[in-house]
Amino acid sequence: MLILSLILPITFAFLLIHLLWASPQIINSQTAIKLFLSVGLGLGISSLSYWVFLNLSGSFNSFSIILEAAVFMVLILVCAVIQLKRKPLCNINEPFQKNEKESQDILTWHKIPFLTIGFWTAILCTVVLFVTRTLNNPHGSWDAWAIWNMRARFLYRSQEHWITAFSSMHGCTHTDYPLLIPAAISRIWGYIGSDTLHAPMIVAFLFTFSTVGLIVSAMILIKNRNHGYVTGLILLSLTFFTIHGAGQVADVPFGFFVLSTMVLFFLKDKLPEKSAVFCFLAGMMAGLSAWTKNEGLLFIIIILFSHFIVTVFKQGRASYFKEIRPLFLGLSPVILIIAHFKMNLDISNDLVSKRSAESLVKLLFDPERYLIVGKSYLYYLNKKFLAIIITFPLMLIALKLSGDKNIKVSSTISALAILLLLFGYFMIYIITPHDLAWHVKTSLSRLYLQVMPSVVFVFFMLLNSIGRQPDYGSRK
Amino acid sequence: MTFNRPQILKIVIAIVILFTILGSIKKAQKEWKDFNHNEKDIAVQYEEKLGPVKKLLPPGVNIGYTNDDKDSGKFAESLYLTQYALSPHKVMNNEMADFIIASFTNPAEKVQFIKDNHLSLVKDIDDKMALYTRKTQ
Repeated sequence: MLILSLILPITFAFLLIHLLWASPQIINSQTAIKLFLSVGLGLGISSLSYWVFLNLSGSFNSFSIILEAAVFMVLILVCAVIQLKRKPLCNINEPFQKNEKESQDILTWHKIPFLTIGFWTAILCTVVLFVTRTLNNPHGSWDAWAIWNMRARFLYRSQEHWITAFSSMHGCTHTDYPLLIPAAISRIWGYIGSDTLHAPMIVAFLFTFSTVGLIVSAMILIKNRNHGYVTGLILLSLTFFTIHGAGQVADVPFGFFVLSTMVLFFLKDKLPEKSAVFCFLAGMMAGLSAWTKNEGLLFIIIILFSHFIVTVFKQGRASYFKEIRPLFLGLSPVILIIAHFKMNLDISNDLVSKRSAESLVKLLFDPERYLIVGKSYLYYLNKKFLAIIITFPLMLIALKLSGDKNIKVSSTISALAILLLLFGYFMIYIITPHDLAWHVKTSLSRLYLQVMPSVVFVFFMLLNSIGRQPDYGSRK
Repeated sequence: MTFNRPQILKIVIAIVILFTILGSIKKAQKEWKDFNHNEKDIAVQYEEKLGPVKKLLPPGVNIGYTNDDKDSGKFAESLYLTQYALSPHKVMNNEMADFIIASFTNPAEKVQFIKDNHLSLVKDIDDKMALYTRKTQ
């Protein structure tokens, strides 16, 4: 039942992406990226469906499970039939195919492909680290047992009284936090029939390694294999990322959805014929980020703003309106469910509720707070992400910035969104009602973690491809 | 000795590979050592000690929680772990419920607390923590 609970939504998500992307074959060079996108999308859709069933039938009982499984099976069948009946497609994915030809092992010694071996060894070591960390902390870190897994337990164990999960009267923190992780876990427990620790562990594993898989497969597709492996290695070098992934916190899944949104924007630029499809999927992923953590609401505003500014100025209003419709179409179902969750339950946010304008202004005009947060930003960047501080300038020297015009719009949107997100977090710290030092100490490194996969992805997208001899050969 | 761009690139990639593999192995080694030698994870400890208590509680009952360490950050940790282990029972940060889980390091304070709140012992959970119920008048 554990496998069934995962395979149904992920298969549906994969077929949906495959149908919309419309590749000629089901197995091709884009299979990996579709698969990693579908892991996040599938888990996201399954948690939304759990919430809908919970609200419609009062509890996620055997009847709900059978009905939900039947709905997923019908949807899978419909997608499969449409795919089979579709006329043979012309190959619109040509821009990606030359990348395979130009990919050659950059790091070889006596014909031994060190980059490939190094990458897969690093993956193996990271899996070992993830497993040992999970064995050591099977319930996850503080945030996992105090927030996410706690909420999942309440949803599952309370059965028809699941509303108690949102009572602020007991030792249950942050009742306003969205439900992607707790609902996904509780749904799996519903299928299995017991609240085994395997469910949160597997969800954490899927999100951690789908982030790595997505960044590598997207880079392989858009640039080449060398570029993909090196980008993956940089992400894997951040053991902090793996440790937090195994800690079952929601920051890694949130980072996955932010990264997915940006990857889909880059794909939109590379395949303009399919821009509506990629915008629709990007909208869904951005929506799911807000269903994972409240920071996602800020991310949605920022990505819509960045998309508006960059697209209107670089491509014109017509292009913007062409893209914004599918983007909203993907975003709106998730936003509606989030709105239902926030408005129908008696929940409040610790950062925004019961604050007077006067107290906010006082905090905003306190220069000392800016100094504390600014120093902390630099401190945690240096403490947790030293590998990035060292390797990024060296990579920039070695590869130089790419002049690829095809990705200029998406890279500007993504870079602007990352900067605005970090600025948004900065301003939230300035106005936090909590003790500033405590708030920064307990959360800033995780906030960095949320954007780090996207930072690595956008940075490597901006560089010249590794392995294209003419690019750096001519600059010797 | 000067390096051209492809050489710099190869050196950086080689360092990243080494750094990534060694970093992961070092951390995994530490985790494995902790797993074998150190005491169990705190959430596992709470699960094990509060598991038998959960069976004693009637369905739907609310539980109060207190300890004599309210000033340190450990109070919140202990409250949340108790709530995590006992869910779906609601554990509240007060002494008003019919069942109370109290943890005292000072035996004199424990005796005074039981006397003041008219409590009787249901079960000793460990050397500090116990489950109490309110005496019927």
